[in-house]
Formats: sequence, structure tokens, C-alpha cells
Amino acid sequence: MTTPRTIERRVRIAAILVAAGLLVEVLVLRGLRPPAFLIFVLAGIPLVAAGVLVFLYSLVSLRD
Amino acid sequence: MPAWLKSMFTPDRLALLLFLLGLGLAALLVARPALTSTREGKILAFVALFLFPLLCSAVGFSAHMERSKTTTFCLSCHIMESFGKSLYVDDSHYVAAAHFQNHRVPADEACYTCHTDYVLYGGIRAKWRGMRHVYVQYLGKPPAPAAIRLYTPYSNRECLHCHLGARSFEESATHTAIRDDIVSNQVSCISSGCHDTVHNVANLANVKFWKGMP
Repeated sequence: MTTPRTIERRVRIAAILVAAGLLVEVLVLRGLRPPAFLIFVLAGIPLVAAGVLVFLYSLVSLRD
Repeated sequence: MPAWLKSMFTPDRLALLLFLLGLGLAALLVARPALTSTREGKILAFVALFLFPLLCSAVGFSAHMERSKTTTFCLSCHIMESFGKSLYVDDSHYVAAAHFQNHRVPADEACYTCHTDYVLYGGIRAKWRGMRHVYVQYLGKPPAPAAIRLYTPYSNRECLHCHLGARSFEESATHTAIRDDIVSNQVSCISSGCHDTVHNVANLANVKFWKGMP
């Protein structure tokens, strides 16, 4: 069974991933060179996506 | 909207504000995940960990896509330096230079304007080619600037996107004589004897440059 504590832990992990992803994205947001785009796509977006997925998993695991 | 308000809320600033708000909300849930035990907290978590991240990423991706069309972006790679220089050649026979200097293409999107495909999803194909450039630049073996060639022959379609129907094109005796061949791409616009000097970066040491060169 998923306890509230487990859910909180998952939410925290999701929030850390999302925050890390958004931080990476905002740091390269104004970048004018191709590496900025690559970092955005290869690091920022995957981190954010992982965070969103962990959050969604924490929602669907509520009924366990 | 008043001008001062417009200047305050530029798209760049709004995007930055959006990211900072998203970061703030995510940080709040890092510090206080227990907030999600209430109904309001769950809504907050949905906004902070689903809506905002997706919105921010979409806005950021779109901004990067738009920026990748700029001449500055294309010329930011060292390998493209001589191609950038070729835009300032003081010779109207240099097709790229003549278009750039006379603003026949937008100067700030000069590379993209000529090198995109004017078909459905042509922009995406151009961006994909751009990714290939990046791959070659960082993981492959980049050729010398003078040895750089297009992946596929340049299509007349890109020239005709602007020139077809234009008086200067339609009233030219040469164009009229072989119009069908040009339109069907049988005779290339940049073939020998026509507009065959495009960037010609191998010859840059022997040309004069326009004084407007930065």
C-alpha cells in the first residue's frame, strides 16, 4: 500500500527533477549558440519530463 | 497597451518570468511536499509539476527554434565564418552577397531564408539538417569551409518561391526562353553560366568587401 509518506517522497523527487530541469532550461534560454539548444533539448527537457512522469506516477499509485 | 508597458513585458521577459514562477513553485514543493495532502495542495502540485513545466519547456523550445533561424546563430560556428564573410563581398555576381546586402532576404535570417525548403514541413526538415550540422561539428569530422557542400543539390523551388511572378524574373529574355526548364528544376538557377557564384568561399582572399562589413 502506498502511504502518504511515500507519495510525499515521490512528489519531492518529482519537484527536484522539475526544478533541476527548469533551472537548466532557464540558464540556456538566452543562449545564441547551438550548444545552448543542445543542452536545452538533451538535459533540460529530459529532466522536466522525468519530473512530470514521476509526479504522474505518484498520482496513479494513490489507489494501490 | 501603453508603450512603457509593452517595453516592460517583452516576450523574453515574460518567458523568464514564467520560468522563475515555475522554479519557485517547484522549489516550494521540494521544501514542503506535505502540502499535497490537502485538496488545494494537490491542485498546486498539478500546476507546479505538470502544467508549468510543460508550458515552460514549450515556450523555451519555441524560443530556441525561432533563434535558430537567425543569421547570428548560423554564423556562431567557426566553420561558417567564411560563409558569413561571403555575404559582404562587393560584387553583385555573388548571389548570396547581393541578396543579403540589398535585403532581398531578411538580413537577420539570411541563411535560413535561402536554405529552408519551401514545402510542407520544410522548416522542420531544415531544422533536422541543422541538427546534422551540429552532429558533424561536435561528433564528426567537419570539412574545411571550402569543401562544404549541400547534402542535396540546391532546388530552384527555393529561388522561385520569391522570384516566380516577379517582373525582373518574368521579363528576362533568358528566363523566358527556358522558363519551363527552370520551373521543373531541369536547369538549375545556379548552374554554370547562370547564377553560378553563390558563396565561393575558396576565393574570398581575392575579392573586395563592402564597407558595411562589421
